[in-house]
Amino acid sequence: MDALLELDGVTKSFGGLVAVRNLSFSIGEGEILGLIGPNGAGKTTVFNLISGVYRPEAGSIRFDGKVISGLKPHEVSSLGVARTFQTVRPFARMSARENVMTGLLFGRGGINAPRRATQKALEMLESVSLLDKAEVRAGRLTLAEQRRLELARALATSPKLLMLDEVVAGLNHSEMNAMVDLLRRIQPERRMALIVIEHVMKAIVRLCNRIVVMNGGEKLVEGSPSEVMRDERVVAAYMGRRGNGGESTTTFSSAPQ
Amino acid sequence: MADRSRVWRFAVGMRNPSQITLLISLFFATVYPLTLSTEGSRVLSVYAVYFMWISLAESWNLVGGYAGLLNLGISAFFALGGVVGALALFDGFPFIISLLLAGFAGAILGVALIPTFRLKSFYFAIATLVVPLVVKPMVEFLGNRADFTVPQTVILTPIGLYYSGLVLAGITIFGAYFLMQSRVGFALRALGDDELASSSLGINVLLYKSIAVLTSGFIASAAGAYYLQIIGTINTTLFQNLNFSLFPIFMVIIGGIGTFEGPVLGAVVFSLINYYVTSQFPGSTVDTFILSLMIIGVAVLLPRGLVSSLHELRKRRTPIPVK
Ligand SMILES: Nc1ncnc2c1ncn2[C@@H]1O[C@H](COP(=O)(O)OP(=O)(O)OP(=O)(O)O)[C@@H](O)[C@H]1O
Ligand SMILES: [Mg+2]
Repeated sequence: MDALLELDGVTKSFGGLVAVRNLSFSIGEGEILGLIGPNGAGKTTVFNLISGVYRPEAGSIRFDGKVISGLKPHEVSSLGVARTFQTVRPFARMSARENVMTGLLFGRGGINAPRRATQKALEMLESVSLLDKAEVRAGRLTLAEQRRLELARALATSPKLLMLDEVVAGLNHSEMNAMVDLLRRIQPERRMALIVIEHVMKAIVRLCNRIVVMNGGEKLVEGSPSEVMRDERVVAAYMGRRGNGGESTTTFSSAPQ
Repeated sequence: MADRSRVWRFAVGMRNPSQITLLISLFFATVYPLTLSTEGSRVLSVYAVYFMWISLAESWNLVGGYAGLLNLGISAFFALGGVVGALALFDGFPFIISLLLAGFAGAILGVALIPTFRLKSFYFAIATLVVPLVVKPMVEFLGNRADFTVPQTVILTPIGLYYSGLVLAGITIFGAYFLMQSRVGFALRALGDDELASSSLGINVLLYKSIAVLTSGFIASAAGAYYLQIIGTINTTLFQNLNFSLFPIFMVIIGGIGTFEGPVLGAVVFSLINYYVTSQFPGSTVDTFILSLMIIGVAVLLPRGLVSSLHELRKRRTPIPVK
């Protein structure tokens, strides 16, 4: 079976710092992959490389049979790759409805007239429990609401691959569970692949069947959640960073803002 | 399955009172000259400046208000339009063609700003400050003069001036309205808020910024060619005339940045205040002082402008339905 996304020996550095080094992994259609690692491991940089924000210095990225390394972010997006951001980036001056409409209008769903996007946008807002906030400016929503809005906006582009960068960071326990439930509901019905960056292990374990662990820009381990959590190298990587490994089964490190 | 009736209520009936007010005002503006005698129709030329400011403010708002790119030198577009308009009239073209040629010249000047889009938006603002300094001497060199005065014979009558201004402002207002309701409008507002997020949704940031700057440049230069009809002459000092760069910004701030009716309201309100203050303190700089204070006051007290403040007031009165 051909992979949907395939990274092959990808490297990216900033000045002297190698943020991602010779990284290879792949993900199949409809699969959910967890991407974890201590702070600064290079996870967000991987998303930026895939989505075209950065161009890899070495290696290649293939999506759906095409080489996408070197394409611009909007070109990658129109091939069917969507993402959310570690620090939320809502269109603050637009209403929640207009945020989602923007995703619909520029996504792959083939909707070009705003009038025809309205109804669909409201339905999508309802699916992330934001219908009553449809006309509220996105800048005025709470963090949990903005994360759900960003998710709806990304989904609105009808992606084949959705990349989520710490969607539960900063959420309280029940908000986190609601988000995980939402993802578990949405993902199979849309038959899309997911890559999930997460520090909260409970969320990862409930979502993913396979996990890639990064450390210092390199892939450390790849395997099922239970394999990965038992792996000594993984525990060592986190302990090395934190100086204690006591609570590493729930949270590998405190979620950064 | 979505609850249809609840979804529907959000989708329809979002007619906004300022849009209705605008339509009514345009209607009255259209019939008003019919109530005047031939003699009295001379007052019509007074209104020309309002139409001019509305167009210029609306033009600035497309780029500065929606796309979030700060144009600090719209006077250059305006003055270039005046010069090109004058040259077209010299060559015997009718007024309407002079307006269009001026518009195209403004759009081409907009193209010159496209290279700055790849840099931080700060560089766009700097480039717009530099543009007047570069274009002015070029125009003086190519035209071999600094003064472009057109003969009285190619100047419109007061009633012609009035209606062509009304059409210019009307096309600008409705053009901006429909543009912003369209897919292009969504792209501009989105990238004005967050470029990275916009591009991640498939928006070609470079393309849509270019569309905004070209459209805005077209309108600003057409407004310049219209201004030529109002005063009959363009001097190249207009390229660096701070009033024409700043007043459109003031108007947009007063009316409401990033709204399509804001620049219209702002242009009218600001022109009235400007007229009043200037006539109270003739020949001094007190007027500029007062206007500047006023702008700071508005920015602090009503940061989102008159239009948004009126909307907020209305929303507060409307009881929020229970979920
Ligand atoms: N634009 C940039 N310029 C310079 N250095 C960068 C840039 N982006 C990332 N880095 C550096 O690259 C390394 C990897 O960063 P990255 O954001 O990918 O880590 P991460 O795994 O997402 O970490 P976190 O869990 O804290 O979000 C870090 O050392 C970071 O400081
Ligand atoms: Mg990160």
